[in-house]
Amino acid sequence: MRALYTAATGMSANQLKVENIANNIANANTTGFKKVREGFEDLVYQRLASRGANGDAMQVGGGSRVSSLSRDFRNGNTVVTSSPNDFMVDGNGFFAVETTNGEMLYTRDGHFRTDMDGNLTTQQGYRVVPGIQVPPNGRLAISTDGQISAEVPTQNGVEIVQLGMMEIATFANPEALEAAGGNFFRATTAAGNVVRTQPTQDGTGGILQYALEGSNVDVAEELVSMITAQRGYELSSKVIQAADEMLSTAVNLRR
Amino acid sequence: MSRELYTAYSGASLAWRQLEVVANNVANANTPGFREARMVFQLAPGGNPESPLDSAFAEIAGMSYNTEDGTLVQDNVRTHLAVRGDGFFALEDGTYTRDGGFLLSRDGELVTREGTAVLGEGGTIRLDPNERFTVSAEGTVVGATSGEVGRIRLVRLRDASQVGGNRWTGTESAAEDVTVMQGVREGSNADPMRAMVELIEAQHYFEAQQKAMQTSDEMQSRLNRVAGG
Repeated sequence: MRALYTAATGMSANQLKVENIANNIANANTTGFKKVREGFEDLVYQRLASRGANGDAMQVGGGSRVSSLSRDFRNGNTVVTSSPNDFMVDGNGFFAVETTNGEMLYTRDGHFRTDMDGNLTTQQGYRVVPGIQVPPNGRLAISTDGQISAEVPTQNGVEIVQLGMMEIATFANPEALEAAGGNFFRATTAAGNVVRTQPTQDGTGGILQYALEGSNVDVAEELVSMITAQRGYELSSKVIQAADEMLSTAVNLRR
Repeated sequence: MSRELYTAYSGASLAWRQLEVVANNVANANTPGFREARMVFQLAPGGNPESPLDSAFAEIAGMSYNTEDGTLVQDNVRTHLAVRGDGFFALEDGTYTRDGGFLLSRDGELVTREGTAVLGEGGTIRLDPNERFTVSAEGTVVGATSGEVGRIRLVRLRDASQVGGNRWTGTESAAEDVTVMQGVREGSNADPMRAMVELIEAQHYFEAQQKAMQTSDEMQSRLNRVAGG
């Protein structure tokens, strides 16, 4: 009966792969989305009691499973926009934001806005850390290394007001970050301590303004993995069919 | 008791074994670094040399693995490595793998997804977690700031057997003509076409044995009728 169960593990692992691909494709246009890759591994092997005639150890495998779903943190494409509140980390690192209940979250989605008090926030209203307050009518400007200033119109032209320094959060092992939904990530012990530094320092990326990071999902790649998953599923179903027919032959042996 | 009934039974049970092996190959058609297995059958040496067919039955001669490289997929992730040729990466827990989907741990050690360190010729491979590095075809790891930090240990395995989790055990021997590629992952080398052929073969073989068993049964019952008058 094992062949049936072995083939079934192949079917369910491939089904999970298709579900994950569906999520990647659905987020092909989500700002700052990082695709998730599934890792497959083989299951335990059962040793057969007898050795082969030539002394080989005989073993039969129990199938496969999806052992990991890990994020691919490579950069997505740069999408140029016309809003001064759109930022992108060009390289390694995350924007740090603080939710309304004080939790720290991290994101690659730099599609920010200002709230009624002039604070720079995400679309959900989470404040960007460190706090940046834009003066009324001010237009934000940020340099690659994170110097934030605002151009404020006055009677005799434009005044430049320094607002502080942007920070980029990095982790030793970003693959271990936990997705918190809404393009946010939460720190975990496995991801390592958060290090907040000035952009372009210590291997962190610089900041691009008037730009957003597109999703890093490559639709063509996803479609190819979908085909392999579907065929893998089909192959395992054929094994189940063959096992079933053989069992039926065996059952009908005694008429 | 008729011999041929048991001869046919031994054949049918091996056909079922073959089906189990095919089921595992097919289930692992997307498992990185998986090697397709195959059981080889033979006629068991009979007890009576004068009339070898008297006690003939089929047995498993051995197990062989397809040692060809699996499909290589370039993903440009610097910690992803692939072995080319008949070799394995050695891991700290004494097992071996061909699944080179490694990553750097918090303290910069090259590890598997489960966190087991990958062995170099002189211990584990340790880099600065944020630095860039290259791995040459011979397996020499050079960090952008740390310089040369070691050489990845590549071995060939004798009496190799799978233990699950993409890991293998076996007896080490020197690897020849084995190289490493960086930014590439090796897929499974299970060949779907061959799996389907083996499936058909197993099924037909199984049915043929079943026919032999039925015939033996009929002959026996006819003999009984004749003997019983």
